[in-house]
Amino acid sequence: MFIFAVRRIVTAIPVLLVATFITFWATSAVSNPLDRLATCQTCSQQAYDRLIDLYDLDQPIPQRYVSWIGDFVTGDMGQATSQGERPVSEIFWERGLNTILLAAPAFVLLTIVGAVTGVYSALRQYKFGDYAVTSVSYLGLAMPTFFFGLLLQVVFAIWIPQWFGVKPFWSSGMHLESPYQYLRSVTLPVLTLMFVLLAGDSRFIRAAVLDIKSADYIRTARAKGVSNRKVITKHLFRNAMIPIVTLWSLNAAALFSGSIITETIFSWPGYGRLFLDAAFQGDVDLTMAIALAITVLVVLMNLLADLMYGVLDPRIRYD
Amino acid sequence: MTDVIENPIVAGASPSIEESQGLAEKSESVGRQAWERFRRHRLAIIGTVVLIVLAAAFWIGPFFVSYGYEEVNIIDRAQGPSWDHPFGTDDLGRDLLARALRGGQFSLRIAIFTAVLATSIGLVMGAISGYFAGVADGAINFVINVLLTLPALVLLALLGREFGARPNTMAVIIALISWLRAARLVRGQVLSLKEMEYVQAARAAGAGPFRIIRTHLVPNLVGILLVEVTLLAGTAIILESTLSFLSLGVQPPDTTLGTLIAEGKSTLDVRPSRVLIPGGLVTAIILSINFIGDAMRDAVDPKSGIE
Amino acid sequence: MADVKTGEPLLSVKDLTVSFKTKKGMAAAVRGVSFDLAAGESMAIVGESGSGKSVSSLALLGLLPRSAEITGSAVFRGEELIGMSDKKLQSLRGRKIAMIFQDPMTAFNPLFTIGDQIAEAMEVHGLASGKEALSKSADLLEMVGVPEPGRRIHQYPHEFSGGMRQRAMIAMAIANKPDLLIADEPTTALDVTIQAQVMEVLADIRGETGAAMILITHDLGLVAGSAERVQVMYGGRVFERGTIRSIFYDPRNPYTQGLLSSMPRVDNESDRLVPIVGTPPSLLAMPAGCAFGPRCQYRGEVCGERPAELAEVGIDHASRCHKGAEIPRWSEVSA
Ligand SMILES: Nc1ncnc2c1ncn2[C@@H]1O[C@H](COP(=O)(O)OP(=O)(O)O)[C@@H](O)[C@H]1O
Ligand SMILES: [Mg+2]
Repeated sequence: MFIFAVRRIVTAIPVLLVATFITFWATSAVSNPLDRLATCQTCSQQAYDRLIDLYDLDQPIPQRYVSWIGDFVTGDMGQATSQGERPVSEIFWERGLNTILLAAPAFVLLTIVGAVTGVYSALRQYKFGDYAVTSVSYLGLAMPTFFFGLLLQVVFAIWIPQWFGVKPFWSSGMHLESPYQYLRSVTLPVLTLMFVLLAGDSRFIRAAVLDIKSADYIRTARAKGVSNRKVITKHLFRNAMIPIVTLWSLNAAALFSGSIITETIFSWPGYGRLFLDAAFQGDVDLTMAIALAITVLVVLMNLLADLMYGVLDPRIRYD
Repeated sequence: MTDVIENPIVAGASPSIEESQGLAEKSESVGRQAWERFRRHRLAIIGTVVLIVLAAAFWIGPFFVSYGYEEVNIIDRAQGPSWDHPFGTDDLGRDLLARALRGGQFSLRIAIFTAVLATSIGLVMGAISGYFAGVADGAINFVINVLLTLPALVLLALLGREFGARPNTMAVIIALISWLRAARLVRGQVLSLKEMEYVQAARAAGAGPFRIIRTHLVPNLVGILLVEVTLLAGTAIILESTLSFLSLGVQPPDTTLGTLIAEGKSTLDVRPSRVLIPGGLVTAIILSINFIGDAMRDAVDPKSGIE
Repeated sequence: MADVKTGEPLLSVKDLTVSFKTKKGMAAAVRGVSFDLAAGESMAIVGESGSGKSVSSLALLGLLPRSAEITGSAVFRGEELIGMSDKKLQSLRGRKIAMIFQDPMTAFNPLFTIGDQIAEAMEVHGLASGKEALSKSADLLEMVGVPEPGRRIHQYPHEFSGGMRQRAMIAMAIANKPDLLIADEPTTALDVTIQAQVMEVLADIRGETGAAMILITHDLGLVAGSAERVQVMYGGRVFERGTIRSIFYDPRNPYTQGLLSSMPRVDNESDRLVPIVGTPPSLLAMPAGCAFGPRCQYRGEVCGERPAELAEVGIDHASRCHKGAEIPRWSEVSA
């Protein structure tokens, strides 16, 4: 199993290299940190030279990429031009923590609620509960994240502002003064972030459970005299865990792209908006740090999911 | 590699009515049966009607609206809905009904173009990797893995900025990251069809690979691909409107529904209708598309039976 | 057994019908099946696939989906099964009546060990639990001829071959010494040589436990050594019933004769297999007359008008055919 994990990580490296190179290239090619100085009357030649030196702007992009990797693996994440040249490592952890404060509860809730509604809906197929869940899922799948976020703001900023203290668009931001304040400020962003994904998850689990429900081994269990409740809690749930784990890895990636929009709408000071801004201002060091963090996380989640399959399903062997 | 047994979730194998029906009704054409199954989905019919009505409004409607979508009118600035301006006006006094129709037109155009393009890319990639296997398969698989790993939204935004945000360019850019699922579907189909007898017979008769792909595999894929085009159109609208919302989409004076929402959000507190109307349109379009897509999937593959 | 003394059958099925609600209307899968089964007796239900064999047996145990509407009566040891409460049925299932399913590949839950699954059959009825149940599972596996049962109970279904899995399935079915075993195509998914072994195991087990058996199969060949009586089903109806002798040597129904001609036999001098032409009718488009009519070489006008009745043609022998007397005897056909 350990060897399997190592091999998976090693085979992911070429993919990571190409993906980061494309991101690096796109960021560097599209915007140039020098652009900012071009309109600056008071900036001196030294400022130019310093920027050129700092970001190797006199070299072709592939070479810059290589030296960026060199720096990165030796622990130097560089400096963020778009953030007053603060060290990337500082911003990275600070903002990363904020995104985790948003994404982690969304992930947990998503996994639980997606599984519960999906299983429920499948077990009550074609009954009222199923129709209710299915209708909401359809709506969720049809609503872009940003529109759902704005809808929440319309409701909670204009109609009942006292609940979450949201002001339209400039929003409430993040509050960590007390657990209560945190909950109050995180609720709407979390809802926004998970709603669209929840719809997809719930339908995926529903379809999987419908399959399991009609599986021969379920009928065998009932033929043995196992009670309906136990058939569900033992045989069905255990098998349903496999598709649920599949969703983990998919959700982790989707939550990060979703957080770009959610953080923008709710002025949440995480990676999301920072990522876009950095990319647009040609702030390669910061863009790359975030891009890499997200990709590594996705690769690790995939690996974790694969290892979980091995735990859950005796048919899977790592050798 | 993990040694995963084909499909861990094993479906019950009891033959369904549909299957036994299939035997008795062989005379009925496949297309007719598919249409029958599609027709049973009431929601899909509603979705089709809604979509036709909306499309008609987007393309024909502007001829009946007395204001142009670019027409600035400083006196009538920032008004709420009125008899004269049913959806109100924006900060430049442009009629929001005219703009919503224009925006809807662009959103739909981008969606359809993206969906067709992405599915075509997926078809080619999937067919190549399924048919040739080996190196080609490995290479395409690598590309897919890379694309899955990239921060898609940010890249789209960068590309959009670099290559200009005109509707067709946007469609191409979105298509470049949306073909993955289509490729996987096609690849799977090709792999299974490849082993079937008539294809092997054709190969034995000396038909070249492209001829086989074109004459034997593609016809089998038509149903699956139609479904994929439909569902992708929904995804494309979401992506397009999201980019537009982040002000990375189609540039003024042109507009899409996403851009309209973005423009309306700053006055969300005083005039939520500026967000709710285009947002509602986006939702209605995607909802209709998804209803149609699901019914089509059911029609093409009765065993998927989502209802 | 007490039942035998009083002459009461172990299971008495009367006029059982099953229809499924489908999008295209009601599909009548079983249309009036009746039979009696004495304790310890073995009966076979034979017919092409889709003739309603599985559905009738699942109906007895309440294992059909809710879309099924069941009428008629099935009295098992004096108790009516049709409409019995879920709780009562549960206590019968696997305890008094046990099932052996067709496909051993999919009939075991892939995520639990074989031992666990056999033990579960005992545990749900409170007959054994924990370590005891597990060691009993090993004994059961030994009984059905699985080698190294002590090790095998810790293995998962995918580590068993098809034949071994079917043995394990039999072990699970007999765990609680049921009065009735329903074996639904127990060997269909297996190789011919393994088929014979599994049938042998079934026969041995019945010899030891004295359980009655309903053997469901589409393969008449399997029936000869394993059952005393046969019901031939077609389109949800019993087309012929009789003792093994009468069905094999004096079949009166054209459908039964068709089945026999399509079956390889040692005594088949002509040495060629004649399959029945055509396919079984769709449940939703049943012919108004005899269900077998469209495929029958002896069909006449009446056959298209109304279904035939099941009529006695001998001692303990009945056939459903309008043309009863006109059908040539098997001795003439097969010669
Ligand atoms: N759940 C169901 N819904 C609708 N039709 C069914 C269902 N289960 C079985 N059937 C139909 O009932 C008929 C009899 O099936 P079955 O008893 O399984 O046949 P067999 O004789 O091969 O065991 C078949 O035509 C089958 O399609
Ligand atoms: Mg059957």
